[in-house]
Amino acid sequence: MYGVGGERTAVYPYNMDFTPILRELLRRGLLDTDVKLISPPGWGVDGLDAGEAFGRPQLGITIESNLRSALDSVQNLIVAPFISTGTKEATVLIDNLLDGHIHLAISKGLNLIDFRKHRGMDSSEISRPHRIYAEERAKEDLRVDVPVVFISGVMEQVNKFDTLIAISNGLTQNGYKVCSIGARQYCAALGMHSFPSFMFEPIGEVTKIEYFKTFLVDVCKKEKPDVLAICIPGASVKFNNDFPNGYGIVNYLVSMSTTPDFSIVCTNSVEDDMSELDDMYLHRFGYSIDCLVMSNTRVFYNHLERELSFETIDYREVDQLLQKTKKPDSRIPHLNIFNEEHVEILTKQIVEKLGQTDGFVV
Amino acid sequence: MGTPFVHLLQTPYGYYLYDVNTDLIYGVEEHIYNALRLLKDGKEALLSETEIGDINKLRDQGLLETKRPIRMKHPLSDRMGYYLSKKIEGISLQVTQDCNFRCHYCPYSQGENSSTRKHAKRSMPFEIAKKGIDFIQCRSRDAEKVRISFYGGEPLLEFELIRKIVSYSKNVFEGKPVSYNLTTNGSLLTREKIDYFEENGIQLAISLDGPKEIHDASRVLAETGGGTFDTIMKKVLLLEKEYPRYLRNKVIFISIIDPSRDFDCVNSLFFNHAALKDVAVVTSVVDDSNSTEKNRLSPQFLIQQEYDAFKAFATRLGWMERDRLSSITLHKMDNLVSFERTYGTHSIYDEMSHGGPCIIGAGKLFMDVDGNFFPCERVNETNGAMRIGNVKDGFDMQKVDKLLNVCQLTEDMCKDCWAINNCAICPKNIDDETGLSIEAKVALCADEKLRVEQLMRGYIAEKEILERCMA
Repeated sequence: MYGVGGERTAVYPYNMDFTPILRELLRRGLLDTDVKLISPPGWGVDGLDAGEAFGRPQLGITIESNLRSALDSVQNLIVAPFISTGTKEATVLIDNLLDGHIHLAISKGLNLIDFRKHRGMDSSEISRPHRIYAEERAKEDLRVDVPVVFISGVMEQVNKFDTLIAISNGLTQNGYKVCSIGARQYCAALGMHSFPSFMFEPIGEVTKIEYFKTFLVDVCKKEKPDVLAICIPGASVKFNNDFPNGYGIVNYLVSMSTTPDFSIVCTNSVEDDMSELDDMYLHRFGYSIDCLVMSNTRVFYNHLERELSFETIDYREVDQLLQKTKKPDSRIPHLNIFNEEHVEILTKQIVEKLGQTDGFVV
Repeated sequence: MGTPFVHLLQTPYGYYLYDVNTDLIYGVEEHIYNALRLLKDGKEALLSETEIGDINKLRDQGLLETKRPIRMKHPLSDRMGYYLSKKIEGISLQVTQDCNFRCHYCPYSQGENSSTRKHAKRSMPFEIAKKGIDFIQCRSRDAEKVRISFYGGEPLLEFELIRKIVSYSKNVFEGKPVSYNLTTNGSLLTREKIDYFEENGIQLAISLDGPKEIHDASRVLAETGGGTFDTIMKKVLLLEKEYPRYLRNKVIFISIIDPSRDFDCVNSLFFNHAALKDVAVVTSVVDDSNSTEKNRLSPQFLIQQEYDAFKAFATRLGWMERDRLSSITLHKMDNLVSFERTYGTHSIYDEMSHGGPCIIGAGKLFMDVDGNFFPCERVNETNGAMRIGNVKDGFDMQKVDKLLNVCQLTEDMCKDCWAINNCAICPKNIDDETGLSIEAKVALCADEKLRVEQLMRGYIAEKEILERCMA
């Protein structure tokens, strides 16, 4: 509970990455709709709807920019994580601002709920002993024995987290127990596991694959889910020589740990030849694409300035784009994760496909 | 065979082709060079079978492609709506049109014959400045940081206004990194002002043209016509003595060089004066595009400049220390470094533009005292084509598009121009006082090609020198 039953809550600094969390907290009734969402004035989103400001469906809550006055009318302050995708300077600036604001909130006697400190169980509960077990059990034939769904993205900022939440909810509503591994640390706030940090540490690639496999097996043993949904951090392909996107290494490592029974790929381009992408996934990662989710971000490379920029568009424009580029004979459906009908279609397809795996009851 | 998209260059030591499609320079033998010349001139029939064979070998290596752009269009043309609504990166504010100097080369100081505005006792009302800040605040959501610049006239005539703007913008942009800079003649600097600038991290650009005799020949007081060098140097000494860290970290000097003067003398101040050791200097030759008086180069200037260019090569090859070079030569060297950095990375696209125009309105937006918008502070404010909107009504997207697509003025020429990858003609250079001039652009093309060819020759010369030294 983050402020229901008479207690009022403010979220600061409210940003695009927090939007899916907010929507989910509201949906689950963990947060009241009278929550105050505060973004620094310099971000230019003051007065906009909390969903529409970032191209997502309307949330009916208006973003404000005056934290000081908001702190006088709330009992709880949620500190939202913020990491700038561009300059480190922007992240440091917000961290410094936060220090002052947190101080003020504490002096006013507010309850502080710091989402930056929310971590999944990877680092403390599972990941650490795992390293020991993994070494001991490296030679065991470890297998993930529940159906697996992968969510990957061809670029950063392609709504992977929104997709993970949407399918987790869709499957849960259909009566399945879903265990989700999110790419973000604070997804633990939604009862998910966060992606293990050892995957980014300077340890050998083989070790990472073995650790990750062991991690998945143990998570499944502990939680006994019907479905394991894994959101893979980063991008799966290089954009160009200037922006190699980590060469999709993490995607490769994950694909060596286990094979998905259903694969969702989030993308931001409608022009690519999707069969080429499908072939690439098959040959590089060993599995085909089952569904493409078209994100509400567009990426643009300005070859004159050698600059990459991301533009957020309204989710309804995604529907229009999909309509325009519809390929009726395509094996792979193209969907919009902010369109509820599409989420239903996607859930149905996952259930149907997973029904072909042993032990999954449709 | 088709005409390959190449440019041929000859030096005393070799023959070269610049292949536009691969953006690379190749050394070739003399007979191939001659054969390529025939091919370029449409005299393919005169080629011998051996020459055709040699040319085909180059083709097999992926060279001599004939591909040219189909259309000239800036890659951001269809994206300007986004850039101007969400990614404006800063604004330069003309806080005043007044100045206490009357520099001889300044177009605003010139008489009625000058096409630009004149110095005037007009300042920006704070309300207009606020509107300008608010305008970019809600249009910079996707900009990582923003820059606010103060420009004039002489902006220090409006110090209190600047303080108010900084204070206001700090509140408005809370949560977003903001950098401030101010371009000044330096004469009105005081301890109080420097303290304020240092406290707020405001970067200063101070104009200083060289030693007293050079500086005072151009930069004179409005009221008396007297020289200004001594006044400026007092301020420099104050900075050196009491604000040494600020001087080294946040102050740059802008040195405008008059090419009719002695080149070495211009540079001597920055070499010899203790207070100016290790300061950042940006040098450029007098910009005469909006001026009635055009540049004249003295023979000594040319000779000394060439000698400095020779020293630049020696520096690049590690034979000489960089600090023995003049700032103007260092600047030229940096151009060669930028050329090398992007060398081999350009491609020919079906739809493309030559370089030059910035992201009109989003990169260097300039607002005059009345709230009118211009692409940058360097354009002619009286030319309607350059006025791309105002703070009340927003941007005139048609004008923005026209300035962005300056390449379309000479579309057919540009599509077939070997310098397309490195050309840097911007709208400012082809202003004919009422609009953009095709004739001015065509006239400028020859200069621009020469500039690009000089960069290529610099690149080749360095390789040749190294090759001959190693032999």
